[in-house]
Amino acid sequence: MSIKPITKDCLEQVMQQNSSIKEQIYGLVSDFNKRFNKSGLTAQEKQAFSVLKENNLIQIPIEDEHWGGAIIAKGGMKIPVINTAQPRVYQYFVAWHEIYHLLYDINLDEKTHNVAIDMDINERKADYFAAKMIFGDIYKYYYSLEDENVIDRIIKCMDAYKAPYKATLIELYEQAVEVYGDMDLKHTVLNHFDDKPKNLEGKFEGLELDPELVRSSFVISFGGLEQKVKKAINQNTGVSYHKDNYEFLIELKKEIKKEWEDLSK
Amino acid sequence: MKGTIDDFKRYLSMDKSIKICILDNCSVEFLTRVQNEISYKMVFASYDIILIPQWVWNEVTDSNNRVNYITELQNALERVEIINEQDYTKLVDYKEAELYYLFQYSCDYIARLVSFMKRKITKNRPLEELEPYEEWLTTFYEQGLDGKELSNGRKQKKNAGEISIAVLSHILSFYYTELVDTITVFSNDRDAYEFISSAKRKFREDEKFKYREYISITFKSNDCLIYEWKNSGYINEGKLDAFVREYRQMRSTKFTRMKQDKSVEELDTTIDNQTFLEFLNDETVHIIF
Repeated sequence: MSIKPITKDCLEQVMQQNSSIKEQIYGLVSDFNKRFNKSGLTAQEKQAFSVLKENNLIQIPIEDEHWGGAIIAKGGMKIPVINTAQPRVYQYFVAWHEIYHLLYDINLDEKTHNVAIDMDINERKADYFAAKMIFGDIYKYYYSLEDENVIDRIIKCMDAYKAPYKATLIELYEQAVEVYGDMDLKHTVLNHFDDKPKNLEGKFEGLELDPELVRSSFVISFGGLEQKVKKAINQNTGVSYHKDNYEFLIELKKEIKKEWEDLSK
Repeated sequence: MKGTIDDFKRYLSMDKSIKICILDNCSVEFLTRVQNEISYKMVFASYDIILIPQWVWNEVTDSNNRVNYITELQNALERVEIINEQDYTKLVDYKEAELYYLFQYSCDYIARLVSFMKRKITKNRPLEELEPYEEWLTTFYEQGLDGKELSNGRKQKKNAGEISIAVLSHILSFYYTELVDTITVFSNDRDAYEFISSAKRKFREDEKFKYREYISITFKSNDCLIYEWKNSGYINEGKLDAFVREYRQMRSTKFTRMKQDKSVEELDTTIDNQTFLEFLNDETVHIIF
């Protein structure tokens, strides 16, 4: 999933698309909660990662600020990938976005899902599903905050729902316009939509919030592959390639880690 | 090698169904150890020709006993050929892109090699842009495979022999269907078995190969050979116990067992010598590898 350059100019178009897919996506949210949220996890991001991990989630830092994740469909398997060089809030949103593709996208066949076309309806469905899994009544929460500064309030919403800046504003916009008919808030959102604060970490710290949320996690995980190969080594003593593959995996992990350490110097 | 690869091709195109044995180094070692009790005539009577890929031959030459055994075989039997991997292209009539797939699928289980082939051989280009076979094959064996230098100065390459065997057996399987009757790989190395089996699965999924005729590739592990020799009466019943204890170690064995209702159970488990001896007298058991 590429992070979409939605701007205030196309926000209305996004709303129209959301409206056309609303019924379907609400149905899927309900289906997800019935079928997949069985472990009683309450933190939404843990829920998302738990489902992805059951499907061999690969977590890897990739030096591409526009690439959030993908589903790789190969040999009858669908493997989710998340770019952990992205700030955590994006990872959480991407996680839910990819869950849509993994569980509900009938267009996902034997090809890698890696679509970058803005406003593609399929992508909008994935984004809308992600938003509905993440946000509660953000409108009420927004007004419960006493900050005078709008950006501060938005940042507190990001923190509360663990959501990216624009996703937070889109949800706020939708509720303000469609549920509450709050034209003041509509204009406030529009005025701030394209002005994402430059130093989010600093803003979080300034508001005494945990800045980890807007930092990268750089997690490297090969979807439980290490454990699987280890098990295969123990079960198949006659073959040597499992041991080779295990060593290769460990080397690969070290190489990726080293590359990121070098980059961050 | 007695003749050239062209001689070998001419031999294959003779008007008869040829029974081929491909030898792995571990089997040669085993055969040298048992040769006082099991002569090569007992072992190779069913085959018209014995093939040894060059990389396997390199391993054979680490031991004088093994070299002597093969030299004796070459002198006694009409056809024992060492096939250089560089000549595989002639065997497939220069269909180099197809040959590339034969290598790629034979290495499918080794993640390091799959990655190496993408990065250094195809370099993510279409196969039409592949370097000449002789060049990329050298890169593959020299840089792709892990190696270490032995005390005799030879550079040993991990899995080189097994991969050569896998590719050669598939060349014969796909390109000589009219001329070859059987292809049997003599190996006790589970990697060789897995490489050939995984390649078979990949060919079945590949449009370029899945509809083609092919000759099946079968195996004779040391366990299969002992089973065969016992049934042929080559090993005296009274000496069977001592023979197994002398020449066999506990290993992971793949076999089938017929159940009471005649259904067949497939098993793959570590078998010690005592259990193996019981297998030798159990008609419901058939060893696969």
